Amino acid sequence: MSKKLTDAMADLNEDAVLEEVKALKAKDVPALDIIAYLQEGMSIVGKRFEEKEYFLSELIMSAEIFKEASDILGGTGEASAASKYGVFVMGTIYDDIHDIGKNIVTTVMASNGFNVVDLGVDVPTAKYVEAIRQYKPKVIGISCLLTTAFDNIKECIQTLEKEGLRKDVKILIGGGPVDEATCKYVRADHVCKNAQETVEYSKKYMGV
Amino acid sequence: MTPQEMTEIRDKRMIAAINMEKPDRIPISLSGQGFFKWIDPTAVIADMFRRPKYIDEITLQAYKLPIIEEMDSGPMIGFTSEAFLQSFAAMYFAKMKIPGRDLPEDAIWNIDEQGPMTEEDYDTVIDKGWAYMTEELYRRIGYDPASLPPPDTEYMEAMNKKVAELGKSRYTMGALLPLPSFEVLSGARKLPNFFKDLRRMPEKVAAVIDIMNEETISRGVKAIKEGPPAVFATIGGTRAGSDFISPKVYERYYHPFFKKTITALNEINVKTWLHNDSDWSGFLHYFTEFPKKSCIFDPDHLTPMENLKKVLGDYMCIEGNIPPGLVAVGTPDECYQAARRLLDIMGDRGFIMSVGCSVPANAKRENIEAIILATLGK
Repeated sequence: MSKKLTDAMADLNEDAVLEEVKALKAKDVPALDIIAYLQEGMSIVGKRFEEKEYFLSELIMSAEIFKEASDILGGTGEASAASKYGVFVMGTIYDDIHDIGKNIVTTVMASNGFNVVDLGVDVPTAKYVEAIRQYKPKVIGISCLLTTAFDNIKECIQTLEKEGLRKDVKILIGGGPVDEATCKYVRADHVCKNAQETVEYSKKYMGV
Repeated sequence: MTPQEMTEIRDKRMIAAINMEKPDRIPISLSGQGFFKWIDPTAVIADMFRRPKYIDEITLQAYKLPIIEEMDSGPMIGFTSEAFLQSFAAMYFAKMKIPGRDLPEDAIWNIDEQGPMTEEDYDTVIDKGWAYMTEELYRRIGYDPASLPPPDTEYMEAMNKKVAELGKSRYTMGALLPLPSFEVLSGARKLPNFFKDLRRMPEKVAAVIDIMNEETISRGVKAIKEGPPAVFATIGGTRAGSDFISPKVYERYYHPFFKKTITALNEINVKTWLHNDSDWSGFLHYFTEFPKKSCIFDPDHLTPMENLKKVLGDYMCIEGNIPPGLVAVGTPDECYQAARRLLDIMGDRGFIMSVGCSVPANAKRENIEAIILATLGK
């Protein structure tokens, strides 16, 4: 166990994280083990966030560091391979390019053991359809920061229903203006106020 | 009653609210940029850029609709939308994606962050100042104010006359102050990089923010002082809620901007309108250090009204706080109840009825009407 890497990740010490990842890789430590150390550090980040020692700014930073470290190991696909739970697909709906909230949620989900497929921003419905068919997630997340894009979420969910993809997947939505009224309007399953709620809902639904 | 007399009544109402006195009724400030669709449902947001004069004309018509006409705030018309939006985005050293060109016809514009500032540039700011750096960053993102279409002053004057004929209050929008340095720097560096900078080189970031505060606040306050008489001036902020950054970071890097600005504006008898997005619940107490009635707090609905009333209710007027999503997709009954709830919390003074952040472009007419009727007690 690389306590050094776990601690550096938990303390958001970017230079130390990258240095240690490179050192472990040079020693032929399996990538999945290195990812596990990073995930352990991310769990501590999540705990510190819950305890209000860390704030969203620290979660944003942790997402960046985790991604940089994963890139050294061959990309976030390695992190996905190390996941304990099911697949979680997420993107920001089309006509909206906000990424901060989405990045926080995907990172927190990845660090909590989910296999995250990040579709990016400005994601068209077809891409959600394709991802659900390919990865068969039990839960998907749709981020949205613009009220004018609510109809796009609605259209996306309607299409998933028409394509017969809705019955096996729970659809979570989130973002600044998204609330219960939005959830009802777009016919999503649940509105998540923050990343932790996404983790809890997904774990509960997946029976973890 | 003439439009001028109506304006005087509405101005008196707004001034009473921001001075925390009892107005004849709670002011209603619900101006939105998508009301033109109520007149022409085929018009799209891209038309604001393609045929702005037509959009201005039908926006004016929307403000004359029954019930809607009861609003105290008037429309924002008569300016060149793209020039305004590109200048707005440039405050974050970003670019604006425009509907009809970069986005679908009826999408709302999106800020596209560029993050042109490097880590080494902190030293440049320390050596050469923020004004130098600003010009350099504009150059890097290709923003040239001189290349934007100049304002059509003749048309703007004509539109101002038309707005005056509506008899609306002149005190629902204030002159725009520079953004807090924390916001500007986080845009210049991009948010994740900026947060890493705060951790890796806190003293250097603090030194740069001090330089920026010194340059921008004095310039902003000078512009207010030398401009037309102002009751208040507006500061916008989106990246500093109490769930977003720690109190330690807020105190060192963000709050000094407010402190210096509010103090300087107070000295020239101008109030500060705080347009603060995200949840500020944990930071509201910082604003109790300023003289009473020196600010107006304008949240985006994520700071609960109960918290605002509890902490700031005796200190400043509060505008808000109907959830913007609700006016876009909720029912008139839900909007009516939301407005009644705010009125119950806020009572009969120190409150302006509005939607959190701003009225979205897809606000339903019947929902806006419901909020107005609730405020009028009908």
